[in-house]
Amino acid sequence: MKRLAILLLAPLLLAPLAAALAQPAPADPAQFRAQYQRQYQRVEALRPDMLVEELRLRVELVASRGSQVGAASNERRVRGFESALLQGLQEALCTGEKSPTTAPSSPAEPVVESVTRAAATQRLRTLGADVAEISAITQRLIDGQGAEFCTLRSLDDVQ
Amino acid sequence: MNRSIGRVRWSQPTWLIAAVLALSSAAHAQVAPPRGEPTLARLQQAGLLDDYYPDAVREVAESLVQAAPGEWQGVRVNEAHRPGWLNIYLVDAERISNDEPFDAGGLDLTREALAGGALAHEATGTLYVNTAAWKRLAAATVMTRTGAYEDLMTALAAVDVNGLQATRRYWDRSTLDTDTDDMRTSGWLVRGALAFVLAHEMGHLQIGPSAEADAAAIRLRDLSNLTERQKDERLACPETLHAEFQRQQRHELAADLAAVRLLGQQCRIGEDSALRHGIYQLGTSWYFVAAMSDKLLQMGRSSDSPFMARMLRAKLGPELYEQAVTASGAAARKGGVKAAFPKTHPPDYARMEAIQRAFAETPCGGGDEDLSGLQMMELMRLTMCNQLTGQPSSP
Repeated sequence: MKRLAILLLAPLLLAPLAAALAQPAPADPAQFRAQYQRQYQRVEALRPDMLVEELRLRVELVASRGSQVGAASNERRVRGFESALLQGLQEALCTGEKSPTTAPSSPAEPVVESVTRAAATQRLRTLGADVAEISAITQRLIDGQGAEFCTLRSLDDVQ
Repeated sequence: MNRSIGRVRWSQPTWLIAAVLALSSAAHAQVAPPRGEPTLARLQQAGLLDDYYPDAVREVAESLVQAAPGEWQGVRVNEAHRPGWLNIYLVDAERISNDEPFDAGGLDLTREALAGGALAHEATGTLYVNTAAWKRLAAATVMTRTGAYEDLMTALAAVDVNGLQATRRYWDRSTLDTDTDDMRTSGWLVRGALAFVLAHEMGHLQIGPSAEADAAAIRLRDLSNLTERQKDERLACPETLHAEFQRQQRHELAADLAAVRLLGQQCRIGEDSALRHGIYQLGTSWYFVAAMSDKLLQMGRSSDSPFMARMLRAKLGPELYEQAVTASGAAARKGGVKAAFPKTHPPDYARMEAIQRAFAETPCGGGDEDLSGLQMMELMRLTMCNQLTGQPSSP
């Protein structure tokens, strides 16, 4: 009887399991933090315009994955990402009176969320390392810009 | 509490653990091979399938499959997916929405990903061939053969400016299937280019997805203080970019060399083998002429170099230059290197050189093209990159 019940319940047990496995595995927090910190330190000394350059290159890396015979420009998706990212960040960080900077040792939750959402708008298949490194560059950009970050209309305006 | 959880886990029936392992391995492989008709049906529902020369695609693919005995049981074009076979879907990338890429079960089909002409999905053994790219190349090829335009770059620019519908008479079967010397030559060039593209993607299926990027260090003398020009030049130097770009370039080169192994045996396979081998070799070069033409046009749109503008204007003529280059030029012209040196693939000249050398090693041999021009390009690139990375120039 017990075996029969297990057999009958098997599809119900396996359905959520299958759904869970279909999702990308959540990043290991310690690994995520290490990747974030490593990238933050790498870009810490960069000029703001070079940070934007690094951000675009890093997003393009995600957009260009695949086995295609010829290279193609992914500028449309990169631009779409950065536009969504800037909008998301300004909505999350620029509504209060405080400056949107945070401690560089750990990723700010709104930054990670904005990166993840911006990637979703462009249907970019990001891995944990992608989110960690893009968040680090973004965070460094925010930290360097301070309150001016909230007045940006586009990342092209970053000098 | 922990002990209780542990007991529950280990007391599960064996079949449940086996099911978990099975599902887990499927998830790690990204996606299980589709069964039955899901991919085909979904492509049909989305209106993406396009029956543009499926017979020619099948014929070319079958000749390549014969060069890899035991690798594939056969070729299926726009048919239900069958594991162990080479499954090819002909899709019109122009019909893919910019906002909504087509999810092909773990692989997103986007216009950009298909722009080169085809895309491989290693997890399911499937190739997606972009018919829009082939109609464009066919139209431009016919234009050059019939004398409408002198060279391929001008013809490609003309197709882009006028659009595929307006140039339909150049790529339609009713034109291409007519029995004339011009159409026969056009057919050979396009068919040969298709053979290279299919062979490259079949190479991807053979070598599988690439491993994780190794931790190659980024070498750059001073990343913090690059001029606008250096920012552009850097894109020609993979060693100054993320390690994954370096890995992607090596992987694409490996697919090119795997392609040559399939192409370089054609002289020994079936009827008209010597002619087929010649067509495939010629078509490979034709594909790269088209790829380099596209990059030159793109360089014209993104560079403010007077030399580049003069060269393109003379080549295209003032009117076509205005339409194809000036009208679609970038608002901020940041330099032409980005267009000429893709980050994901080796430069076209380097691919051509590696392919020519590899052809010479195959049973059918290769041409005896002069590669010194291609080598000169690489020398110039190396000198530029050495200045950026602070490395001493090689003699």
